[in-house]
Formats: sequence, C-alpha cells, structure tokens
Amino acid sequence: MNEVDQAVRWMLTEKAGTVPEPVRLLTGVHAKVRRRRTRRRAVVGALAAIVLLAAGTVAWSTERQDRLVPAARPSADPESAPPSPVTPGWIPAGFPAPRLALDNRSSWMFATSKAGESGPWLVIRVSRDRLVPTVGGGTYTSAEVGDDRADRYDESKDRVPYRELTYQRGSGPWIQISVGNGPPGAPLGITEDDLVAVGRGLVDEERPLPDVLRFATAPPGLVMDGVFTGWDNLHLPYYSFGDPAGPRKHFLPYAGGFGPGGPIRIEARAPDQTEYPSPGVTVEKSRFRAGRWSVTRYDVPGHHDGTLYVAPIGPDRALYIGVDHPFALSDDEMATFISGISTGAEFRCCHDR
Amino acid sequence: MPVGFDDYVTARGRALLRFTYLLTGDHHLAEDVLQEALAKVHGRWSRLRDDEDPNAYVRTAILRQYLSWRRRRSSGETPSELTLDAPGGPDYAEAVAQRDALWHALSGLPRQQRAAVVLRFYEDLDDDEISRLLHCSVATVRSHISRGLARLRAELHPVGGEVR
Repeated sequence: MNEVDQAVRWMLTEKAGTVPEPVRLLTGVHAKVRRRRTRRRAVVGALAAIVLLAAGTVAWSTERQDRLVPAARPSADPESAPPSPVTPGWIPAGFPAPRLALDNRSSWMFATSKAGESGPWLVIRVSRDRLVPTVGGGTYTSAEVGDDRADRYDESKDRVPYRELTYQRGSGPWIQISVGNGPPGAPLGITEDDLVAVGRGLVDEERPLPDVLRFATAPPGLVMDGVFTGWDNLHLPYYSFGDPAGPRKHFLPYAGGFGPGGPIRIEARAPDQTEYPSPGVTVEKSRFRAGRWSVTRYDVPGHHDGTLYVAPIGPDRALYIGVDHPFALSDDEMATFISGISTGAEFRCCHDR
Repeated sequence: MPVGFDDYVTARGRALLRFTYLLTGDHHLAEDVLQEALAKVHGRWSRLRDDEDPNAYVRTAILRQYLSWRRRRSSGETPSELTLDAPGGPDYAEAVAQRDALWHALSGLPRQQRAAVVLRFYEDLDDDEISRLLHCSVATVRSHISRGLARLRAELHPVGGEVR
C-alpha cells in the first residue's frame, strides 16, 4: 500500500470517528415506517373517495416536510466529565506529572511539558474512537508495546523533532503517545524505547478530571464535552458544553491548543486576562442573581460568541461564559446553571499571569 | 431468519451511520439516508434467509439510497476551525489541513467514485464485492478507484517529504 492509500484510509477512519452514537436512529426508522404505512393507506383511501384523497394528500405533504431526522434535543443530563479509562504510570525523567484534559466525551489527553510551554512536551491521547497516525512526510514504521503492535511515526519538521506511537491497547481504547518541541537540530532526549515504556506503563485505572470547577447541572440539552485545566497553571480553566447528539469534535488538537468547543464555554479568568466585556464593543443587557453570585449578561455584536455572561466569584476573578446564539438560554435558565457552578479543591485560577 | 431488525440496528447503527457519513459527507444527510434505507429494509427483513448476510443487504440498500438521493441540500461539511498555533513540534496544522483537503476532495468526486473509494479504503472490500454492490463490472470498479485516487493524490501535499 502506498502513502496515498494509507492517507486516504486514515482520513476516512478519522472522519468516521467523529460520528456520534445514533441515539435516535431506531426511533427515526420506525417513525418512517409508520409514515410509509400511513402514506400507503392514505393513497389507497384516496382512490376510493375524493375526501380521503384530500386528507391523504395533506397528510403526505405534511410528512414530506418531516422526512429528516427528528430534531428534538434530548433532555438535559447533568453528567459530569467522564474519567479517563487508563492512567499513566512511568513518565520520562524531568517531566512533571501529566495533567488530564477531556477532548470530547470519548477522548482524553494527558499532557506534560518540561519547562512549561517552551520545553519538550509529552502527550498521551486516550480514545474510545480509533486514532490514526499523523499524516505527513515523516517515516512510518512499527513497534511493539507489550502485546500490541503500534504504528510509529517520526518526523523532523524544520529540524524540530517529533515522535509518535499509535495503537489499540488490547481490545480497549486507542492510545497515541507523542513527544515533540525539542530544540531545533537537537535530539529530543526521549528515545523510542522511552515512548514504548510510557505505553507499557499505562494501567487500566480510571483517572478523574482535575477538580477545578464543579457543575451541579448542565445547560438544558447539553453535556460537558471538553475540559482543559492547564498543565502547570499557565492555562486557565476552560470547560465546554455541547450537544450529545451532535458531531464529535476534538477541541484539543494538541496539548494546550483549543478547538471550537461546544456552544457554551466557561472560563475562569481575572478581569485583566480578557478583552471582554469591553466598553463600546459589548452591550450590557441585563443583570440577575444566580445563587450567591451576581451575573451580568452582555451582547457581543459581531462576535461569534453571541452572548457573554460574567459572574465575579472573587475580588480578582470571574466566570466568563460564552453562549452561541443558536443555544441562547433565558436568564432564568442561565441563573439555574450558573448558580450550580462552584470551585473545586484544585481551583488555581488567576495565580500565574 | 437472522437477528431481529431492532437488535441489528441497535448493534450496528453506529457502524452503518459511519459508513453512510463517509458517503454523504454530512452528518444530518447521512442520518436521513440511513433512516430511509433502513425503513425500506425493514419491510423485507423477515424474508431474509439464514444464509444471507444482513450487512451486505443493508449496505446495498444504503448505497442505492445514496446513489439515487436527490441533492436537496449541500453535502459539504464545514471543517472545524481548529486553533492551530502549536508551539513547535509536529506541524499539526499542515497534517490537519491535508486531511481536510482530502476530505473536501473526496466530496468533489462523482458518487460512484466516492462510493468505490469508501468501500475499498474504509470497508476493505475487494473489487469483486464492490462490483456486486455497485452493480458494475470489476473493470469499472478499478477505473472508479484509480480516477478517485488520482483526484485525491493531487490534494495530498507532502509535509517535508515525498509522497509516493
């Protein structure tokens, strides 16, 4: 197989992995079957009498408009973030303990870095969906991780080395272990054997997300689908809520980089760490109480976030909640949601700026 | 008779939806096409013989539905706007861009070509099986795949290396 074949194969596998569980498929099929029967009966009746013909035609045309999938969103489920099904064991010397992030509801990322963002980083991605090696111009080989065969990928882009192992852990989740960001021209300092040792050190033990922010409830119809709490307080707590029936998206394409996130995103920041709210840009629309906190709602004209809610939770910190327009909630709904947010034992917002 | 219809859809629903999504390139359209195909299969399910493979039966129904589907809406999916400012390391931006370019190129293929490519590279079917599913000759299947790959190859730019 040449590399184009392989690239197409991986691209298809990756795209297929974005398809969520079709929770309404069977219901939708049976609804269509019922509609077909109804339609047939209507047509038969129409042949018998002009009245029934009219009735059948109306029913048919009504049903034609409803041929697509039922679009009702499921009721809200205040699920918290699911834990990672595996936990790292051995990590190369010099790396702090990896921090866990939730990429989507079936994908997690352990990340650690020497010397913050400037040094080499190590990422362990864990996914219930198939993971595929990076597509690029590097070298593809294979390696053994215990009893599992891994695809190995090595690349040196602009003399910055990168190394990656991708494999399925037995019949369980897929694992991708990657290291990169060494000094240009210098070796990574992490060998292939080190990567294999990281893989062999993984244990089948659930690891919960860091206890930074807690949510008593989810916004109506949404579930927590992304969590990033930084790897050494360089990043701020970031949570995303999305549609459980919507396409599965990766919001962390790599350690520390944010993707689009869900339609509702929560960050804890200090006031000088954000450009919003900004006089002349944001427009204050309302104020309301959410439990012990006071909340201000702003419209952000021209900004894709649509609506911004700010709830101070201390003298130098606040929750900033961005809501996309299609998921706009009433002030009462937002008050219920925000009043259920509290800080956890590992809350470290706004210290390192 | 094989497994019951509901049990089959419950067990295989996601795999079928993935296959349909790769054909249509649109999540909602995929669900619509799949529901239509399964609704048609439902009435004939009880007539499936024990030795008939329900997967092939359903796959055929999906392909027929897909190939005959009127273009009622755009089949293009907007790629996610990932933030791609990684501090050094592998060029994820290019890698992701390459996959998106391939995906977009795939959506530009004629339906028969796209179906052949998906059946070969996602379902891992050989030429004979694909020709039966698409109701065409083996030579036509090879032509579809060859032409489809040629279009896709043009979109795959090397990242610091030669792509064969």
